[in-house]
Amino acid sequence: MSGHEPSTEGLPQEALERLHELEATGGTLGLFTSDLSVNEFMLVREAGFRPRGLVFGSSIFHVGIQGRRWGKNVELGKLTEALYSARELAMTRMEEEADVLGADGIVGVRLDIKYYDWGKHSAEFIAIGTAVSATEGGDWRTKRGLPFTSDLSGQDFWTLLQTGYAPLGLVLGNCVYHVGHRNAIGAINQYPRSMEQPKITQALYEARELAMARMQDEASSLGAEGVVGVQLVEKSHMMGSHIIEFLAVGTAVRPISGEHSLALPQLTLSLDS
Amino acid sequence: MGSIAAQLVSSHEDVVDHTKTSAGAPVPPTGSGGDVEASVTTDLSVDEWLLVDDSGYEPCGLLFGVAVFHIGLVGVLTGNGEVDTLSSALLRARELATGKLQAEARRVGATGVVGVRLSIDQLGGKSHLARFMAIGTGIRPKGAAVGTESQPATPFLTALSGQEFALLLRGGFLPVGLVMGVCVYHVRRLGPLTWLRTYSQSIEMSAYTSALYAARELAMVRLQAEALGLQAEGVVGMTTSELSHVWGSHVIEFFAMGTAITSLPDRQDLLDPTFVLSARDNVVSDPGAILGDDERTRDDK
Repeated sequence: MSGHEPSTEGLPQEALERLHELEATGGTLGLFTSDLSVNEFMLVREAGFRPRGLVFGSSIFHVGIQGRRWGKNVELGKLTEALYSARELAMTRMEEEADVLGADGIVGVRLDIKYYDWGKHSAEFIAIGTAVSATEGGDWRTKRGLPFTSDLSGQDFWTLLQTGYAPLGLVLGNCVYHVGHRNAIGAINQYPRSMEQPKITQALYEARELAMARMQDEASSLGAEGVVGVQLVEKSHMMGSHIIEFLAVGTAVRPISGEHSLALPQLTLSLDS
Repeated sequence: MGSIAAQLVSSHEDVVDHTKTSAGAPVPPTGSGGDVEASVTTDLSVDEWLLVDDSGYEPCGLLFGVAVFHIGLVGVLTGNGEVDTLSSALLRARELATGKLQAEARRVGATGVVGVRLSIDQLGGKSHLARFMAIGTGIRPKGAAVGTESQPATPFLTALSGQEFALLLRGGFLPVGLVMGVCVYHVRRLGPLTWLRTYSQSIEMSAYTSALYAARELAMVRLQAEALGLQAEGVVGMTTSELSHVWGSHVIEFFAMGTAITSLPDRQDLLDPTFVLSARDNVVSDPGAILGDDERTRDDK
């Protein structure tokens, strides 16, 4: 969830052109674009929303180096911030695009990282999703007046609304951690035995908790009741195997009705292979 | 920008015998309602076939269109910017392949082609030749005879599967065509001074950002123009990709594709979705799919 106010300054001219073309003008009925599958498209409509347009934000970010001691377990704060900012920039631009469309929110947000050979230590951070608007109107935006964001698929979005909750925002927390190397003597001593590596256990534990706590903080600041669909991912990206980024991503939700119930599911056995 | 030699090398019209269908059997007699039933080859799965059939359509053959294009670069590119000639070449090559697919569809009396896959295969070595192929299964309303007035001049193409097509129809929509947009962009090498300056910092590379952002948006603008030209109501199933083909990583093709649809108000069925709990073990989707380098996966479609 981005903290920036949307403004069209960051968007290229081509983006504004594309988004304005989607709107219904005097003679035309307008057009919607989306990366929804047919299944998602149908369910988003069933949920009382219509797709407006594919919205997309990108940032090419150069991730600098940060010194660290070879043997130490430590968070690499500068890298944490860098990877967070890069995603934040991409998401802000995506929200700005949705704002230009006057959409209520964005579903199916996907965060992606693209590497190009010509950009050593650089990567393109992308946020892409489908902006939607409620057909009956209503108050769907966040308390700061921004369109809601969520990584929920069309199907999950419909299901969430059935249970009396609405998405508020995609929340994420990260932590780039350096796992200290064991020194040579220690390694040789332990070699034949199977035992826990407390140093590494502690390190990974701490890093994961930091990432999750930061995600929860974002959800709280949105005034959410909870976070659904949390995914915890650990990746080294291009940074070498002793540096790992822990990322926690989920969708913060708020209740829209006092009752939260779900119809009892039917049991089926699919003939699909 | 350098000059490009991008040209059509060969077309599959030179090799295909038009008196035969893709299955090798002779083309059945037209108009008579067909007392001779030719067998039909398709790449539909059983589920797809059943749902297409349930929607009132029948498959009429596995169809394809091929174009071989020279997509190499002649000369040296300087500066950041779109490589116009390559953008049009890449679009033209795909349009040729899909155009031939449509011609095949017309020939067997199909009103549309589902499950269309576009593939690009480099033909290897320094030839810089690439084969663009569009392949899919033609369908037509059941009981329609070939060559009647009810057959549209341009059969629709869609990447949607048989199941997605059936669901779309139930929801009161019809595919009108495959829409695409291309933008080939050249990224200049970073000079040594810039590299040194940014080496240790974590910072956004704004020049690159705006360039690549604009290139992707251009591809999407062009896709939209195609959809507007078809007078579609919307586009579903859009995909965007970045490909370098034979050029090396400094030249990138931004490609966007989707299926344009239009609504049929009199055909709208109430969907009334219900929750089901499958008695089959669930496959846990890849947690890394939300971000990073993996192919996107979503809930079961």
